[in-house]
Amino acid sequence: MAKAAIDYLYYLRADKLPHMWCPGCGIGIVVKAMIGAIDDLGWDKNDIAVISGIGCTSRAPGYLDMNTLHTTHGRALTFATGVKMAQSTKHVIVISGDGDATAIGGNHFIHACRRNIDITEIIVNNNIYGMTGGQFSPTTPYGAKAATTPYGNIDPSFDLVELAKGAGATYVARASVDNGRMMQKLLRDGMEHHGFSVIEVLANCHTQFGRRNKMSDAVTMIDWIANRVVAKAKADKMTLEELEGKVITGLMYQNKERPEYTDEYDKLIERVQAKTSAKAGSGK
Amino acid sequence: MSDIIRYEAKEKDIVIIIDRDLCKGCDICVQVCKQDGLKLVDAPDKWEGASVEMINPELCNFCKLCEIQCPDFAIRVLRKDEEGTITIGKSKKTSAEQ
Ligand code: SF4
Ligand code: SF4
Ligand code: SF4
Repeated sequence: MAKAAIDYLYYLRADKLPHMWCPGCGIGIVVKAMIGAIDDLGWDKNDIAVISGIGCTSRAPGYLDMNTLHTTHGRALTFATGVKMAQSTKHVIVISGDGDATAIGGNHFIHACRRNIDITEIIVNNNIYGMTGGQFSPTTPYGAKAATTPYGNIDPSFDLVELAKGAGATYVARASVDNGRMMQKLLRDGMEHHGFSVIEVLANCHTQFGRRNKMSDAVTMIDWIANRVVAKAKADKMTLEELEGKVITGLMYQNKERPEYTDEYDKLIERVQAKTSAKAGSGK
Repeated sequence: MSDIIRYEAKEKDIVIIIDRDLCKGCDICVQVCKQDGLKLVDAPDKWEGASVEMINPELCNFCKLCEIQCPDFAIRVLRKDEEGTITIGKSKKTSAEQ
């Protein structure tokens, strides 16, 4: 018998489709890979909470037929932390854009990494604030044009993989929208990882970023991404010169040893309860 | 009613389904298809004014790249089993229902 095909509509709020994203917008490819990853894991959609902040990417939970929260700009991780602390057996996924996750929500991001709480954060990095009109973000490349950098961006950009690793995340990967299959695998492994997982996905916003940088349609901008990325296995065999200007995709870092935050919290509760009941038992 | 076109590769067990209400004519699937099986056509009846069609379903090699890369859940590449049934998720559907 042929393997059952994924029932995308089972995971989607079909009455909300077509979605609001521009034709060819990479966010749709990410949502599809995310559904594929969840289907691979066989998770019950009722056990999943998907939480977002503000921005084009943050509209994703609106289309997913799961427990969803569309919160305030940059604050998705704070709400997600609350959900996870209250319901630690549930699967908590945050989907954010680059601006939402690393500028407005930058502080929440580094501290979620530091705590190593079992949440998966997908950062759709399309190098720009898409929804609000194309302002430059912390990941807009040096020299690139945005609505607020008409003469070219002079800010150096964040390397989200290094940032996440440095701050303490225990699963860090980079994927790109030109390769949905690889993205699905990295998302799946990140969701399965027990600890804070960060998956950066290089994506196209041809409307706000591409249009200002000679890539005004989806196919051109996805090609630009495809030509920049090199899979880790291949990159490991390349020289530094050959890697100039390239971005490495794949699993970048994983640490299964560091304690996870809700586990630590459970242990703390147990310890304190044992102490208080011992006290009560001794009649003091 | 949804506006769906269904293609069947006669020589193979492959069924391709395009949902014209979801397709935004972005051209991604056309570009990823190494078999040159798809083409963009004018769709004056649709909001975006363009949509995708199959040139020849017999060319399809079931790589599924078009389905994986479509941002709009608009194209599906499915396989029938010996009895002509397509299984989607947990529900079995006859190919006629698809
Ligand atoms: S503005 Fe950019 S990120 Fe927003 S939907 Fe359009 S292409 Fe996607
Ligand atoms: S990728 Fe999807 S939305 Fe884009 S043209 Fe093809 S079927 Fe239509
Ligand atoms: S499955 Fe592959 S060969 Fe078939 S139409 Fe899609 S991209 Fe082309």
